Amino acid sequence: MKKWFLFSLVMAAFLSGCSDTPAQSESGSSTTYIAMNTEMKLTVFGENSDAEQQALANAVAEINRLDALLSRHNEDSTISAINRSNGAPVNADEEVMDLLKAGVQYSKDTGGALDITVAPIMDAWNFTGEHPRVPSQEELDQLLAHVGNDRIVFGNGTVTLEQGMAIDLGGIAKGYASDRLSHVLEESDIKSAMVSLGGNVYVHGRKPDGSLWRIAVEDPNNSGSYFGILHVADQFAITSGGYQRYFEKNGTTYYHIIDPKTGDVARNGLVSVTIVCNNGTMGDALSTALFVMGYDAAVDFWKHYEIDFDMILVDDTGHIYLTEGLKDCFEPYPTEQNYEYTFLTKN
Amino acid sequence: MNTPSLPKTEYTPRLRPTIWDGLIVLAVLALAGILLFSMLPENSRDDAVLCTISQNGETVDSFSLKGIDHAQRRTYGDFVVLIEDQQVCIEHAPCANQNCVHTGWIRSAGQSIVCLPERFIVELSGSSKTQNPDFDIIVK
Repeated sequence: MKKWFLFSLVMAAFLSGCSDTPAQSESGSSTTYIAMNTEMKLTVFGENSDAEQQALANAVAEINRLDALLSRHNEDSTISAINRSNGAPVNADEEVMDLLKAGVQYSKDTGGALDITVAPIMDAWNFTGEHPRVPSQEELDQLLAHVGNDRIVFGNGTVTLEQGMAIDLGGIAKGYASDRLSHVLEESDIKSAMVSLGGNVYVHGRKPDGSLWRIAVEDPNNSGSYFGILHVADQFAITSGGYQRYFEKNGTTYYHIIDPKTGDVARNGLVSVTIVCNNGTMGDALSTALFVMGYDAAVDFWKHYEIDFDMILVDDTGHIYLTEGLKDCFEPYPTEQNYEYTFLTKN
Repeated sequence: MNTPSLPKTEYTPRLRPTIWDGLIVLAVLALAGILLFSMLPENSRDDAVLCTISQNGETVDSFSLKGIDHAQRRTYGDFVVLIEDQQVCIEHAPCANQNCVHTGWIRSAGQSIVCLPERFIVELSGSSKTQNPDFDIIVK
Protein backbone atom coordinates (compact mmCIF):
# COMPACT_ATOMS: atom_id res chain seq x y z
CA MET A 1 0.00 0.00 0.00
CA LYS A 2 2.74 2.46 0.98
CA LYS A 3 4.69 1.68 -2.21
CA TRP A 4 1.62 2.28 -4.39
CA PHE A 5 0.88 5.53 -2.62
CA LEU A 6 4.43 6.78 -3.08
CA PHE A 7 4.38 5.72 -6.74
CA SER A 8 1.15 7.66 -7.27
CA LEU A 9 2.58 10.76 -5.66
CA VAL A 10 5.70 10.62 -7.81
CA MET A 11 3.60 10.19 -10.97
CA ALA A 12 1.32 13.08 -9.99
CA ALA A 13 4.28 15.33 -9.27
CA PHE A 14 5.81 14.38 -12.64
CA LEU A 15 2.63 14.99 -14.60
CA SER A 16 1.66 18.26 -12.95
CA GLY A 17 5.24 19.45 -13.11
CA CYS A 18 5.47 19.14 -16.90
CA SER A 19 4.27 22.69 -17.42
CA ASP A 20 6.89 24.12 -15.11
CA THR A 21 9.76 22.95 -17.25
CA PRO A 22 10.84 25.38 -19.98
CA ALA A 23 8.70 24.53 -23.00
CA GLN A 24 7.15 26.18 -26.01
CA SER A 25 3.53 27.15 -25.63
CA GLU A 26 1.23 25.36 -28.05
CA SER A 27 -0.93 28.23 -29.24
CA GLY A 28 1.59 31.08 -29.06
CA SER A 29 0.77 34.77 -29.01
CA SER A 30 -0.12 36.82 -32.07
CA THR A 31 -0.69 40.34 -33.22
CA THR A 32 -1.97 41.81 -36.48
CA TYR A 33 -1.60 45.47 -37.30
CA ILE A 34 -0.86 47.89 -40.11
CA ALA A 35 2.61 49.32 -40.70
CA MET A 36 4.72 50.08 -43.79
CA ASN A 37 1.38 50.55 -45.54
CA THR A 38 0.61 46.84 -45.29
CA GLU A 39 -0.64 44.13 -42.95
CA MET A 40 1.80 42.77 -40.38
CA LYS A 41 1.06 39.41 -38.71
CA LEU A 42 3.39 38.10 -36.04
CA THR A 43 3.03 34.85 -34.06
CA VAL A 44 5.62 33.85 -31.47
CA PHE A 45 5.94 30.76 -29.29
CA GLY A 46 7.81 31.26 -26.04
CA GLU A 47 8.20 29.68 -22.63
CA ASN A 48 5.15 31.50 -21.34
CA SER A 49 2.69 34.21 -22.24
CA ASP A 50 4.78 36.99 -20.66
CA ALA A 51 7.83 36.03 -22.74
CA GLU A 52 5.69 35.95 -25.88
CA GLN A 53 4.13 39.35 -25.18
CA GLN A 54 7.54 40.87 -24.55
CA ALA A 55 8.91 39.42 -27.79
CA LEU A 56 5.91 40.75 -29.72
CA ALA A 57 6.40 44.19 -28.19
CA ASN A 58 10.09 44.13 -29.20
CA ALA A 59 9.20 43.05 -32.74
CA VAL A 60 6.47 45.68 -33.16
CA ALA A 61 8.81 48.38 -31.83
CA GLU A 62 11.45 47.36 -34.37
CA ILE A 63 8.99 47.43 -37.29
CA ASN A 64 7.71 50.84 -36.19
CA ARG A 65 11.29 52.12 -35.91
CA LEU A 66 12.04 50.97 -39.45
CA ASP A 67 8.78 52.40 -40.76
CA ALA A 68 9.67 55.78 -39.28
CA LEU A 69 13.20 55.57 -40.69
CA LEU A 70 12.56 54.23 -44.17
CA SER A 71 9.07 55.27 -45.28
CA ARG A 72 8.97 57.99 -47.90
CA HIS A 73 5.40 58.71 -46.79
CA ASN A 74 6.59 59.67 -43.30
CA GLU A 75 7.73 63.31 -43.36
CA ASP A 76 10.16 62.75 -40.50
CA SER A 77 11.99 59.80 -42.05
CA THR A 78 15.54 59.95 -43.38
CA ILE A 79 14.26 58.86 -46.81
CA SER A 80 11.80 61.78 -46.90
CA ALA A 81 14.59 64.16 -45.96
CA ILE A 82 16.71 62.81 -48.83
CA ASN A 83 13.77 63.05 -51.28
CA ARG A 84 13.11 66.73 -50.55
CA SER A 85 16.77 67.76 -50.38
CA ASN A 86 16.82 69.29 -53.90
CA GLY A 87 20.31 68.04 -54.57
CA ALA A 88 21.85 68.93 -51.20
CA PRO A 89 23.70 66.28 -49.16
CA VAL A 90 21.62 64.79 -46.33
CA ASN A 91 23.04 63.16 -43.21
CA ALA A 92 22.12 59.49 -43.00
CA ASP A 93 23.06 56.95 -40.38
CA GLU A 94 24.98 53.80 -41.19
CA GLU A 95 21.89 51.59 -41.27
CA VAL A 96 20.15 53.70 -43.93
CA MET A 97 23.36 54.03 -45.93
CA ASP A 98 23.92 50.28 -45.87
CA LEU A 99 20.37 49.54 -46.97
CA LEU A 100 20.55 52.07 -49.82
CA LYS A 101 23.86 50.60 -50.94
CA ALA A 102 22.33 47.11 -50.81
CA GLY A 103 19.46 48.32 -53.01
CA VAL A 104 21.89 49.79 -55.52
CA GLN A 105 23.93 46.57 -55.51
CA TYR A 106 20.86 44.38 -56.15
CA SER A 107 19.96 46.75 -58.98
CA LYS A 108 23.40 46.27 -60.52
CA ASP A 109 23.26 42.51 -59.97
CA THR A 110 19.93 42.26 -61.78
CA GLY A 111 20.85 44.52 -64.67
CA GLY A 112 18.55 47.32 -63.53
CA ALA A 113 15.41 45.19 -63.19
CA LEU A 114 15.06 46.72 -59.73
CA ASP A 115 15.60 50.42 -59.06
CA ILE A 116 15.09 52.15 -55.72
CA THR A 117 14.66 55.53 -57.46
CA VAL A 118 11.54 54.51 -59.36
CA ALA A 119 9.38 56.60 -56.99
CA PRO A 120 8.47 59.36 -59.51
CA ILE A 121 7.07 56.69 -61.86
CA MET A 122 5.14 54.96 -59.06
CA ASP A 123 3.62 58.31 -58.06
CA ALA A 124 2.44 58.89 -61.63
CA TRP A 125 0.61 55.53 -61.65
CA ASN A 126 -0.76 56.14 -58.11
CA PHE A 127 -1.35 52.41 -57.48
CA THR A 128 -1.90 52.85 -53.76
CA GLY A 129 -4.10 55.93 -54.02
CA GLU A 130 -7.82 56.19 -54.47
CA HIS A 131 -7.54 57.18 -58.12
CA PRO A 132 -4.88 55.13 -59.92
CA ARG A 133 -4.32 56.14 -63.54
CA VAL A 134 -2.41 55.20 -66.70
CA PRO A 135 0.27 57.84 -67.43
CA SER A 136 0.97 58.73 -71.07
CA GLN A 137 4.22 57.49 -72.62
CA GLU A 138 5.32 61.14 -72.93
CA GLU A 139 4.88 61.64 -69.20
CA LEU A 140 6.70 58.40 -68.44
CA ASP A 141 9.60 59.38 -70.71
CA GLN A 142 9.97 62.68 -68.86
CA LEU A 143 9.90 60.95 -65.48
CA LEU A 144 12.38 58.26 -66.57
CA ALA A 145 14.99 61.03 -66.78
CA HIS A 146 14.78 61.14 -62.98
CA VAL A 147 15.24 57.38 -62.47
CA GLY A 148 18.59 55.69 -62.00
CA ASN A 149 19.93 54.55 -58.66
CA ASP A 150 23.50 54.60 -59.98
CA ARG A 151 23.23 58.39 -59.64
CA ILE A 152 22.81 58.30 -55.85
CA VAL A 153 25.98 59.82 -54.37
CA PHE A 154 27.21 58.32 -51.10
CA GLY A 155 29.47 60.63 -49.10
CA ASN A 156 31.00 60.36 -45.68
CA GLY A 157 27.78 59.86 -43.71
CA THR A 158 25.72 61.69 -46.35
CA VAL A 159 23.49 60.82 -49.29
CA THR A 160 22.96 63.17 -52.22
CA LEU A 161 20.14 62.85 -54.70
CA GLU A 162 19.65 64.92 -57.83
CA GLN A 163 16.73 67.32 -57.93
CA GLY A 164 13.59 65.57 -59.21
CA MET A 165 14.76 62.12 -58.13
CA ALA A 166 13.16 60.25 -55.22
CA ILE A 167 13.88 57.03 -53.36
CA ASP A 168 11.26 54.37 -52.64
CA LEU A 169 12.46 51.37 -50.62
CA GLY A 170 9.17 49.51 -51.12
CA GLY A 171 11.03 46.78 -53.03
CA ILE A 172 13.36 45.88 -50.16
CA ALA A 173 12.14 47.49 -46.91
CA LYS A 174 9.82 44.67 -45.82
CA GLY A 175 12.51 42.13 -46.58
CA TYR A 176 14.97 44.12 -44.52
CA ALA A 177 12.40 44.35 -41.72
CA SER A 178 12.09 40.56 -41.71
CA ASP A 179 15.89 40.30 -41.49
CA ARG A 180 15.83 42.61 -38.48
CA LEU A 181 12.99 40.60 -36.91
CA SER A 182 15.07 37.45 -37.08
CA HIS A 183 17.64 39.20 -34.82
CA VAL A 184 15.00 40.68 -32.51
CA LEU A 185 13.39 37.27 -32.01
CA GLU A 186 16.78 35.72 -31.30
CA GLU A 187 17.57 38.44 -28.75
CA SER A 188 14.12 37.89 -27.19
CA ASP A 189 15.03 34.21 -26.72
CA ILE A 190 12.23 33.07 -29.03
CA LYS A 191 13.00 29.76 -30.71
CA SER A 192 9.85 29.47 -32.76
CA ALA A 193 7.91 32.17 -34.64
CA MET A 194 6.27 32.99 -37.95
CA VAL A 195 5.79 36.44 -39.41
CA SER A 196 4.05 37.78 -42.48
CA LEU A 197 4.95 41.33 -43.44
CA GLY A 198 2.45 42.13 -46.15
CA GLY A 199 2.66 38.52 -47.38
CA ASN A 200 6.46 38.31 -47.09
CA VAL A 201 6.99 35.31 -44.83
CA TYR A 202 9.78 34.56 -42.39
CA VAL A 203 9.69 31.40 -40.26
CA HIS A 204 12.00 31.46 -37.26
CA GLY A 205 13.41 28.10 -36.14
CA ARG A 206 11.06 25.16 -36.27
CA LYS A 207 7.51 24.75 -35.00
CA PRO A 208 7.13 24.29 -31.22
CA ASP A 209 6.75 20.53 -31.70
CA GLY A 210 10.04 20.38 -33.64
CA SER A 211 8.45 19.83 -37.04
CA LEU A 212 8.99 22.00 -40.14
CA TRP A 213 6.79 24.99 -40.86
CA ARG A 214 4.24 24.62 -43.67
CA ILE A 215 4.15 27.71 -45.90
CA ALA A 216 1.31 27.71 -48.42
CA VAL A 217 2.17 29.48 -51.68
CA GLU A 218 -0.78 31.50 -52.91
CA ASP A 219 -2.22 30.69 -56.33
CA PRO A 220 -1.81 33.89 -58.41
CA ASN A 221 -4.82 32.87 -60.50
CA ASN A 222 -7.12 32.26 -57.55
CA SER A 223 -6.62 34.57 -54.61
CA GLY A 224 -7.23 32.84 -51.30
CA SER A 225 -6.24 29.45 -52.74
CA TYR A 226 -2.74 27.98 -52.96
CA PHE A 227 -0.87 25.66 -55.31
CA GLY A 228 1.67 24.09 -52.98
CA ILE A 229 3.16 23.84 -49.52
CA LEU A 230 6.78 24.50 -48.59
CA HIS A 231 8.09 22.50 -45.62
CA VAL A 232 10.97 24.57 -44.25
CA ALA A 233 12.66 25.96 -41.13
CA ASP A 234 14.47 29.27 -40.63
CA GLN A 235 13.72 30.57 -44.11
CA PHE A 236 12.34 33.61 -45.86
CA ALA A 237 9.69 33.13 -48.55
CA ILE A 238 8.78 36.23 -50.54
CA THR A 239 6.43 36.53 -53.51
CA SER A 240 5.97 39.25 -56.09
CA GLY A 241 2.89 38.95 -58.23
CA GLY A 242 0.77 41.05 -60.49
CA TYR A 243 -2.35 39.92 -58.67
CA GLN A 244 -1.56 41.70 -55.41
CA ARG A 245 -2.11 45.38 -56.22
CA TYR A 246 -3.71 46.32 -59.49
CA PHE A 247 -6.46 48.26 -61.16
CA GLU A 248 -8.40 47.76 -64.37
CA LYS A 249 -9.08 50.33 -67.05
CA ASN A 250 -10.76 49.83 -70.43
CA GLY A 251 -10.49 46.04 -70.04
CA THR A 252 -6.77 46.04 -69.29
CA THR A 253 -5.28 45.08 -65.93
CA TYR A 254 -2.46 47.27 -64.67
CA TYR A 255 -0.52 45.81 -61.76
CA HIS A 256 1.94 47.54 -59.49
CA ILE A 257 5.24 46.02 -60.64
CA ILE A 258 6.97 48.51 -62.90
CA ASP A 259 9.87 47.92 -65.26
CA PRO A 260 12.30 50.74 -64.31
CA LYS A 261 13.65 50.86 -67.86
CA THR A 262 10.30 51.62 -69.53
CA GLY A 263 8.21 53.03 -66.69
CA ASP A 264 5.44 50.71 -67.85
CA VAL A 265 3.91 47.69 -66.12
CA ALA A 266 6.28 44.71 -66.35
CA ARG A 267 4.72 42.15 -68.69
CA ASN A 268 7.18 39.37 -69.39
CA GLY A 269 4.99 36.31 -69.11
CA LEU A 270 5.30 35.66 -65.36
CA VAL A 271 2.35 36.03 -63.00
CA SER A 272 4.23 35.38 -59.77
CA VAL A 273 7.78 34.85 -58.51
CA THR A 274 8.49 33.38 -55.08
CA ILE A 275 12.02 33.45 -53.66
CA VAL A 276 13.00 31.03 -50.87
CA CYS A 277 16.28 31.92 -49.18
CA ASN A 278 18.00 32.80 -45.92
CA ASN A 279 18.14 36.58 -46.43
CA GLY A 280 14.95 38.66 -46.38
CA THR A 281 16.36 41.75 -48.10
CA MET A 282 17.76 39.67 -50.95
CA GLY A 283 14.52 37.68 -51.26
CA ASP A 284 12.45 40.87 -51.47
CA ALA A 285 14.76 42.45 -54.05
CA LEU A 286 15.02 39.35 -56.22
CA SER A 287 11.30 38.55 -56.22
CA THR A 288 10.58 41.95 -57.79
CA ALA A 289 13.59 41.97 -60.11
CA LEU A 290 13.06 38.43 -61.44
CA PHE A 291 9.38 39.17 -62.06
CA VAL A 292 10.45 42.13 -64.22
CA MET A 293 13.12 40.05 -65.99
CA GLY A 294 10.77 37.26 -67.15
CA TYR A 295 11.34 33.50 -67.29
CA ASP A 296 14.49 33.18 -69.44
CA ALA A 297 16.46 35.94 -67.73
CA ALA A 298 15.27 34.83 -64.28
CA VAL A 299 16.44 31.25 -64.82
CA ASP A 300 19.76 32.45 -66.22
CA PHE A 301 20.22 34.72 -63.21
CA TRP A 302 19.45 31.86 -60.79
CA LYS A 303 22.01 29.64 -62.50
CA HIS A 304 24.82 32.17 -62.34
CA TYR A 305 24.18 34.34 -59.26
CA GLU A 306 26.95 34.12 -56.67
CA ILE A 307 24.50 33.59 -53.79
CA ASP A 308 22.36 30.45 -53.66
CA PHE A 309 18.61 30.80 -53.48
CA ASP A 310 15.55 28.91 -54.63
CA MET A 311 12.57 30.18 -56.56
CA ILE A 312 9.14 29.29 -57.88
CA LEU A 313 8.05 30.88 -61.15
CA VAL A 314 4.43 30.78 -62.30
CA ASP A 315 3.90 31.79 -65.91
CA ASP A 316 0.79 32.84 -67.77
CA THR A 317 0.45 29.50 -69.59
CA GLY A 318 -0.21 27.39 -66.49
CA HIS A 319 3.35 26.22 -65.83
CA ILE A 320 5.06 26.27 -62.46
CA TYR A 321 8.86 26.07 -62.43
CA LEU A 322 10.69 25.21 -59.21
CA THR A 323 14.42 25.15 -58.61
CA GLU A 324 16.04 21.87 -57.64
CA GLY A 325 16.63 22.88 -54.01
CA LEU A 326 12.89 22.73 -53.40
CA LYS A 327 12.50 19.15 -54.63
CA ASP A 328 12.37 17.66 -51.15
CA CYS A 329 10.45 20.42 -49.42
CA PHE A 330 7.70 21.34 -51.90
CA GLU A 331 4.39 19.52 -51.88
CA PRO A 332 2.07 20.35 -54.81
CA TYR A 333 -1.53 21.04 -53.92
CA PRO A 334 -4.36 20.34 -56.36
CA THR A 335 -5.95 23.46 -57.83
CA GLU A 336 -8.57 24.28 -60.42
CA GLN A 337 -5.78 25.44 -62.75
CA ASN A 338 -4.18 21.97 -63.16
CA TYR A 339 -0.70 23.44 -63.24
CA GLU A 340 2.23 21.58 -64.75
CA TYR A 341 5.16 21.41 -62.32
CA THR A 342 8.73 21.37 -63.62
CA PHE A 343 11.92 21.29 -61.58
CA LEU A 344 14.85 23.35 -62.88
CA THR A 345 18.45 22.18 -62.55
CA LYS A 346 21.64 24.18 -62.89
CA ASN A 347 23.31 21.67 -65.20
CA MET B 1 8.12 -38.05 6.81
CA ASN B 2 7.38 -34.85 8.66
CA THR B 3 8.46 -31.62 7.00
CA PRO B 4 9.84 -28.95 9.28
CA SER B 5 7.25 -26.23 9.78
CA LEU B 6 8.11 -22.56 9.27
CA PRO B 7 8.27 -20.47 12.39
CA LYS B 8 5.00 -18.64 12.88
CA THR B 9 5.01 -14.86 12.98
CA GLU B 10 2.42 -12.73 14.67
CA TYR B 11 1.89 -10.41 11.58
CA THR B 12 1.88 -11.48 7.94
CA PRO B 13 2.07 -8.44 5.53
CA ARG B 14 -0.47 -8.33 2.68
CA LEU B 15 1.53 -8.28 -0.56
CA ARG B 16 -1.23 -7.86 -3.17
CA PRO B 17 -2.74 -4.36 -3.69
CA THR B 18 -6.40 -4.04 -2.97
CA ILE B 19 -9.07 -2.14 -4.82
CA TRP B 20 -8.53 0.74 -2.42
CA ASP B 21 -4.91 1.10 -3.50
CA GLY B 22 -6.01 1.30 -7.12
CA LEU B 23 -8.62 3.93 -6.29
CA ILE B 24 -6.02 6.09 -4.56
CA VAL B 25 -3.70 5.85 -7.57
CA LEU B 26 -6.56 6.84 -9.88
CA ALA B 27 -7.55 9.74 -7.63
CA VAL B 28 -4.01 11.13 -7.52
CA LEU B 29 -3.60 10.77 -11.30
CA ALA B 30 -6.95 12.51 -11.85
CA LEU B 31 -5.81 15.33 -9.57
CA ALA B 32 -2.62 15.68 -11.60
CA GLY B 33 -4.64 15.76 -14.81
CA ILE B 34 -6.88 18.52 -13.47
CA LEU B 35 -3.83 20.53 -12.41
CA LEU B 36 -2.26 20.09 -15.84
CA PHE B 37 -5.46 21.14 -17.64
CA SER B 38 -5.86 24.20 -15.43
CA MET B 39 -2.36 25.33 -16.41
CA LEU B 40 -3.08 25.22 -20.15
CA PRO B 41 -3.67 28.57 -21.86
CA GLU B 42 -7.38 29.32 -21.99
CA ASN B 43 -7.55 29.54 -25.78
CA SER B 44 -6.05 26.08 -26.27
CA ARG B 45 -8.81 24.31 -24.35
CA ASP B 46 -11.59 24.56 -26.86
CA ASP B 47 -12.33 24.93 -30.52
CA ALA B 48 -13.83 28.43 -30.33
CA VAL B 49 -12.68 30.95 -32.93
CA LEU B 50 -12.41 34.46 -31.54
CA CYS B 51 -13.14 37.35 -33.91
CA THR B 52 -11.48 40.66 -33.08
CA ILE B 53 -12.31 43.82 -34.99
CA SER B 54 -10.03 46.84 -34.77
CA GLN B 55 -9.63 50.20 -36.43
CA ASN B 56 -6.62 52.51 -36.16
CA GLY B 57 -5.05 50.08 -33.73
CA GLU B 58 -7.99 50.16 -31.30
CA THR B 59 -10.16 47.07 -30.69
CA VAL B 60 -13.77 48.00 -31.40
CA ASP B 61 -15.38 44.57 -30.98
CA SER B 62 -14.52 41.02 -29.98
CA PHE B 63 -16.75 37.94 -30.02
CA SER B 64 -16.71 34.17 -30.44
CA LEU B 65 -17.98 32.92 -33.80
CA LYS B 66 -19.22 29.79 -32.04
CA GLY B 67 -21.59 31.83 -29.92
CA ILE B 68 -23.49 33.30 -32.89
CA ASP B 69 -26.34 31.06 -34.02
CA HIS B 70 -28.06 33.29 -36.57
CA ALA B 71 -26.73 35.50 -39.37
CA GLN B 72 -25.81 38.93 -38.04
CA ARG B 73 -24.78 42.25 -39.54
CA ARG B 74 -22.66 44.47 -37.33
CA THR B 75 -21.92 48.07 -38.26
CA TYR B 76 -18.72 49.90 -37.38
CA GLY B 77 -18.88 53.40 -38.81
CA ASP B 78 -19.08 52.92 -42.60
CA PHE B 79 -18.12 49.23 -42.40
CA VAL B 80 -20.69 46.43 -42.35
CA VAL B 81 -19.44 43.03 -41.17
CA LEU B 82 -21.52 39.92 -41.86
CA ILE B 83 -21.31 36.90 -39.54
CA GLU B 84 -22.91 33.63 -40.63
CA ASP B 85 -22.29 29.88 -40.20
CA GLN B 86 -19.19 30.50 -38.03
CA GLN B 87 -17.53 32.61 -40.73
CA VAL B 88 -17.20 36.33 -41.25
CA CYS B 89 -16.76 38.79 -44.13
CA ILE B 90 -16.82 42.51 -44.80
CA GLU B 91 -20.02 43.22 -46.69
CA HIS B 92 -19.57 46.95 -47.15
CA ALA B 93 -16.56 49.24 -46.83
CA PRO B 94 -15.99 52.93 -47.61
CA CYS B 95 -12.59 52.42 -49.32
CA ALA B 96 -12.10 53.01 -53.05
CA ASN B 97 -10.38 49.74 -53.96
CA GLN B 98 -12.80 47.40 -52.11
CA ASN B 99 -10.00 44.83 -51.64
CA CYS B 100 -11.31 43.99 -48.17
CA VAL B 101 -14.81 43.27 -49.52
CA HIS B 102 -13.34 41.13 -52.31
CA THR B 103 -11.42 39.03 -49.75
CA GLY B 104 -14.68 37.22 -48.98
CA TRP B 105 -15.34 34.87 -46.09
CA ILE B 106 -12.78 33.85 -43.47
CA ARG B 107 -13.38 31.07 -40.96
CA SER B 108 -10.11 29.66 -39.55
CA ALA B 109 -7.94 31.01 -36.75
CA GLY B 110 -5.02 32.92 -38.24
CA GLN B 111 -7.05 34.41 -41.10
CA SER B 112 -7.77 38.12 -41.36
CA ILE B 113 -9.33 40.74 -43.60
CA VAL B 114 -7.53 44.06 -43.80
CA CYS B 115 -8.65 47.38 -45.23
CA LEU B 116 -5.40 49.32 -45.58
CA PRO B 117 -6.83 52.73 -46.51
CA GLU B 118 -9.18 52.75 -43.49
CA ARG B 119 -6.83 50.77 -41.21
CA PHE B 120 -9.69 48.36 -40.42
CA ILE B 121 -8.88 44.74 -39.47
CA VAL B 122 -11.08 41.68 -38.92
CA GLU B 123 -8.93 38.97 -37.35
CA LEU B 124 -9.66 35.39 -36.27
CA SER B 125 -7.69 33.72 -33.51
CA GLY B 126 -7.92 30.52 -31.48
CA SER B 127 -6.17 27.31 -30.59
CA SER B 128 -4.27 25.11 -33.02
CA LYS B 129 -7.47 23.06 -33.35
CA THR B 130 -9.16 25.97 -35.09
CA GLN B 131 -6.36 26.79 -37.51
CA ASN B 132 -6.21 25.57 -41.09
CA PRO B 133 -4.94 21.96 -40.83
CA ASP B 134 -3.05 22.13 -44.15
CA PHE B 135 -0.60 24.98 -43.51
CA ASP B 136 0.72 27.44 -40.94
CA ILE B 137 1.11 30.61 -43.00
CA ILE B 138 0.65 31.86 -46.58
CA VAL B 139 3.24 33.61 -48.72
CA LYS B 140 1.57 35.96 -51.18
